[in-house]
Amino acid sequence: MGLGWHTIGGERVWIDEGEGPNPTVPEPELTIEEALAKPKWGLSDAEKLGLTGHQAKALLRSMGKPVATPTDIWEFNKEWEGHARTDAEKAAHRSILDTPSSWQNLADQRNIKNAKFELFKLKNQGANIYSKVIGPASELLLMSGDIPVIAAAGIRSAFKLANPAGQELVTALREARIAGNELRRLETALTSGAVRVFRVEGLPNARLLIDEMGQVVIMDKGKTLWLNFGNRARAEEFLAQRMAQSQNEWVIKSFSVPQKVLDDLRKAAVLESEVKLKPNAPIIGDPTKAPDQFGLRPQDIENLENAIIQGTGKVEQ
Amino acid sequence: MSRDELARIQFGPEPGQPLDGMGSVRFWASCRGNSEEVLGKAKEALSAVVTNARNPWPTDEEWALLLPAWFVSTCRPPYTKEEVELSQQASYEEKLRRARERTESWPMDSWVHWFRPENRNWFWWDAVASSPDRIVIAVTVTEWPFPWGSLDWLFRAAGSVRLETEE
Repeated sequence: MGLGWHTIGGERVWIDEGEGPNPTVPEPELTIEEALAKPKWGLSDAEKLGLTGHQAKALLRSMGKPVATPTDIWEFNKEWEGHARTDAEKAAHRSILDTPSSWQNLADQRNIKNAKFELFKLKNQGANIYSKVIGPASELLLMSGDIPVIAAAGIRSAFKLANPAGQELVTALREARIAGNELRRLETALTSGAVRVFRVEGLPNARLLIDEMGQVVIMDKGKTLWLNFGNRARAEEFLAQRMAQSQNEWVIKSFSVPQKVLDDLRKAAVLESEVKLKPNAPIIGDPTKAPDQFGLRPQDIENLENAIIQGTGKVEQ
Repeated sequence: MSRDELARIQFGPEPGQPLDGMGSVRFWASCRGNSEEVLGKAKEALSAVVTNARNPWPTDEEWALLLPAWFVSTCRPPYTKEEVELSQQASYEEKLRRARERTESWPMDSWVHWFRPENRNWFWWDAVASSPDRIVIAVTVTEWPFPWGSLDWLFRAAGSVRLETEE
């Protein structure tokens, strides 16, 4: 997606370097569906979804799409070098291109909080940019759940006002090219289409490894894995009982998966009494207390792990 | 000394015996004035399956002889593949309705399948007939969520009207 007008899911969004809307440029048609159907994605696409690189990769895998390689990302950034207008910008780009690993690291880690931090750093560097940027940008920085939202105008302001000292931020924002309407729509599509999965665990039954970045790994995949889809209250109720009964440390582990995972499990599920003849089918468990509690067999566990929206894992007491 | 499951079925746990796994979950079995009889029958069938759940795994014909005759005759005939296929293709709402109602009989082979070591998620801890109409049962669990359809069918086959979990 280059500079100019873009129609994403029916919303027209101007993506530029700061000059503002240019109605003389023809408007290419691009819907969310088309965006999602792109044959190859880079981290910029991940940013549009408000995801980290890891989360995006999980999502892409769940959609059966190839994930951009570091070379793709490098080439993508190189392409942007051609849009640099000043020598300082070009030099900054060149500097970043010469250290692709650090650039990729920045790309992987960046989010709106990082962007804000970078803006504060600009202030500390003595640039007068802070007052011009952080004001309008902060009005446009909206947090909704875990997914950051920034409006196109905020990006344009940042582009316009940032100087070579903040070139990494500018590059990040350029590459991200997040447009408010587009992101909000995609955010809605994502959040309305995701399901939270819960499991109460302690030492005796630990199966989920969740790190501080929210990355989830399932252990012992050859054994049936029992999970609760979408019912936090039920998990909390059971956790409270475990805490009252034993000194062991019990926690609720949770993560998000696309709604399709749950839909597929419902379709394939069998009753407990039917398991012997359907040894690979997900099992409906404990249905008197809550719907959507399933025992997943090895093949479904593999599919689930591939579909987990990485970065959404949480461990709560 | 801790009592194993078979000993707990017969005598209950040792005083102060620590709970296994994730701890215990209690159930209530509703009865029609015959709770002592229901509990006795449930223990009889459970003892038989726990005693014989070992390698080599008994054939269905052997299980029919190892389990109490009253239990075997209460079970329905084994499902056919066609029956299970049809059931699997039903809407999720329909599957949930059947699973929640817990009024259907189980085939014997499907029930013992849940006592294979790799399929076990609950283990008998203790039980008492607290009144002619009620039995309180405690099992230890190794998973959450956990399936307890096999416990439900054990008590319904033994004559309980309904089994409900306290948690």
